[in-house]
Amino acid sequence: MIQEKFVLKKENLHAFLEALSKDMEVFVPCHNENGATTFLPYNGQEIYTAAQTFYSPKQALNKPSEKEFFFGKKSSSVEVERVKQNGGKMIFGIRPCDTHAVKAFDKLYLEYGEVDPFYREKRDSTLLAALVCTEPCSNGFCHSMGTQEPTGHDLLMVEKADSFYIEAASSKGEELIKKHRGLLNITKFQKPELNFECKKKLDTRNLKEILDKGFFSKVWEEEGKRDLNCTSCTQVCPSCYCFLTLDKFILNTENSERFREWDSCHLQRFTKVAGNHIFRKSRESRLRQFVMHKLSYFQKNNDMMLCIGCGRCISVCPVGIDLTEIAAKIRSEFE
Amino acid sequence: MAKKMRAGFYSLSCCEGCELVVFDLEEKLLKALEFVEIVDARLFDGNHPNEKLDIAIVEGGVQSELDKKHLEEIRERSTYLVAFGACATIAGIPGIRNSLPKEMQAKLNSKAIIPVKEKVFPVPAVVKTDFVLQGCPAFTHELLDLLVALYHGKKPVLENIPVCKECKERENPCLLFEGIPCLGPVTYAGCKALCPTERAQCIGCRGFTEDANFEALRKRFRKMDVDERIIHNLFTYFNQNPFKKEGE
Amino acid sequence: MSEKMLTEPCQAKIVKIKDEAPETKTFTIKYVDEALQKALHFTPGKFFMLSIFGYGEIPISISSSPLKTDSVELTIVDVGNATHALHPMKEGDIVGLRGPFGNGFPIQKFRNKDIVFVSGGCGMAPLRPAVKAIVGKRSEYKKLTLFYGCKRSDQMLFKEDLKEWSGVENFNTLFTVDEGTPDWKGEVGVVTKLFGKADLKPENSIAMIVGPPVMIHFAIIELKKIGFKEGQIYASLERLMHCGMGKCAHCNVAGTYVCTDGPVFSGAELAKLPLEEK
Repeated sequence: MIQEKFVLKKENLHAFLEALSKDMEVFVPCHNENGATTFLPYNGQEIYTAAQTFYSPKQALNKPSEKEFFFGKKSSSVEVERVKQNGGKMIFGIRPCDTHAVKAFDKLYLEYGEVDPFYREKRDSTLLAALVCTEPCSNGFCHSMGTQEPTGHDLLMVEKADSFYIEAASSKGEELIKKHRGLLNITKFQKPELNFECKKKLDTRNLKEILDKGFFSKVWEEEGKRDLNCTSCTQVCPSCYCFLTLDKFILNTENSERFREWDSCHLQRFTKVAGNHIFRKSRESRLRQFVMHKLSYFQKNNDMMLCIGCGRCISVCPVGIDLTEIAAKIRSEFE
Repeated sequence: MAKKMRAGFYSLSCCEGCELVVFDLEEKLLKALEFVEIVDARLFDGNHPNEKLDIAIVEGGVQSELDKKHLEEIRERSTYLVAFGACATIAGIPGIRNSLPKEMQAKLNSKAIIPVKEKVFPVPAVVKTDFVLQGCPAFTHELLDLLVALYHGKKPVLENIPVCKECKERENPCLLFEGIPCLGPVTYAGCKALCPTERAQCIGCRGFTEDANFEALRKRFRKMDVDERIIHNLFTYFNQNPFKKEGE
Repeated sequence: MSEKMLTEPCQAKIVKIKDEAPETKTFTIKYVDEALQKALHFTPGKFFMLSIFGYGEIPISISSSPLKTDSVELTIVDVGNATHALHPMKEGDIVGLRGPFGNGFPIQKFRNKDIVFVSGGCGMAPLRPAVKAIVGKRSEYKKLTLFYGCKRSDQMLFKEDLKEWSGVENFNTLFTVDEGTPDWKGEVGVVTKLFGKADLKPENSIAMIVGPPVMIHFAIIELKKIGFKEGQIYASLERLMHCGMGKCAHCNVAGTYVCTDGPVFSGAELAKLPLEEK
């Protein structure tokens, strides 16, 4: 492993991103056409590192709708073809909390039970260049979730006034640095101690047990009353992964395609079964599913909390539903 | 390929804009015509009234006895009936009449050229409707998807999905945080959040979802200091007033 | 089971179709690739993700005996888009199989016990492999009892099997319908009403329940009244899965995945699960 630390002058940032873009699709934090902050493929646009992006970088790995299979109808057979996924990606400037969301995906798709080849194909060729936070964000609570340090990243970056401090964190990251050595200078700069406090807090002691006990708490009913079920929280959440599969015929053929699409536990269709029976019909039951999946359920199979403390669901909620508040209320009731 | 499906377009009380936008499908429309035969439509070539149809696509709402008879007659000879566009699915713009004070309604109705009913009714309120394709104007990609599905014997189901889902998929900033009252949370998705993406609020042209939480959204609007009249107008622009009490 | 069998719809041919009841057919299906068919083995209660190409992928329980794996049978009611497209299919047509998934009934553990089968409507399909496996090794089990309730008599599945089972030594089969019809001479009422008519001895018994949520709920209550302990009861739950492998989270019930932790749950596990979430 290269021990040296490097510094990338900000005036070289675009040259660096351009050089990277020659080999891969580089997703960078930026403003999109409509003015929201998110991660988009680099095309020379201005980079946004002032704060956490409103949208998470999850579309770099899982798009809202993706083709998984092509089914070609033959006279006496059906050709099943796995659609090749675009490889060679980097998420540049991914925040530490979001790297934990990628870790959650890795655990779910690659470690738990059967490996999902669809995700594996995309993930195998995806690099993470993590940008550590030096200031608390508006609604994040990463310190409570233990996600303030990045994980599974290939490069580690710290932003300074006029430069980025960069070090390799994996062998793939090392190769990258070697390749783009010309744009980087060696530095003696030491990674600064990161000691800021998140504004929000979530007490995670025995949280799973307490929430499981609070399954029938009145809190759900109260919060459910103001829930719009607009699905915004699940859409912006970096670790929300629930998907459905959908077949569509191709116009004027007998051939079809299978898509994987984002689903949301806030929708009634999520628990619909044959005969149109819906298991989670009420608003509160669906809100509870969201919160419980984040803070309790995921741990059962995957040994980590699905909530990574980015606070985006709180920032996006039009009616101000706050998962940390719900957890605190239930704690006060059932601890 | 199986037999071509026979379809017809019909207009009740409306601007006929939904039928017109079908031509936006351009080459896809030509492709669709390989498996769909438009046998009866004013804006297309063939006019063969009274023929049996596989699919009747009906735009417009029911404003008069004439509309009602016409609709019932179409229903009679069609296997599937599709309510096409806001007027047909939720009474739409003509339905604003339904939310007006009684005196104003009477005044308006007296000025109509042909005798009109007291209220405007959407198609599903009058005859059995198999599918609804919402929007003002209706979304042609949805019509194409429906025709493809029906051709293969698939029947799409309308799910309670709000515009917000698609809006967030397109990574738009939320208008509610900019003080703009937007009906996205209570309106059926499928439009790919066309208006909010262009930074115009959703005005509910696709109809309200079955499990919409109107009360919570109205509270949110009030918190934003939106004028009560604007709130009322927004909720009743395309849709029937969801806050109306029984008997009103 | 190879990664391919679990993650990709594999071509399978319909070799036989049998009308089971109104809008219900049993399809006998074989993998096109013989090697896959040879690799297939399953316990009763497992399910496949069945692809009707262009129409979708749906979870379907295996309804044939685990002792005979040269083909599988899937008994399917015409209820949705995919099943509606499947029903007119003919012998020789191609569908896709992915799986099998789920835990299944641990029938090895049930040896030397009295077995009680409780089934409602098309719940007989997932239960049939268990009955067949146990009847196939009759000497390993003690007394057998089957309670089967349907809406109407014509909706009873596997009528030939039911007849055959009633002739099996020490196998008590009891049936009921919700709506009596002129041809029906038997019991009318819910399936739990039959429990009193059989001489159940809970001490050394195991009960397996498959049916709609309401039926499972009341069957457990009634069995407990008779003296069954939670550990002696097993039931299979229904949810709409999209992946079958614990990834898509559609079948998550209070943290438990019906696809990987179930669909078969013991009474003790079920007691912790809300069958309907209010």
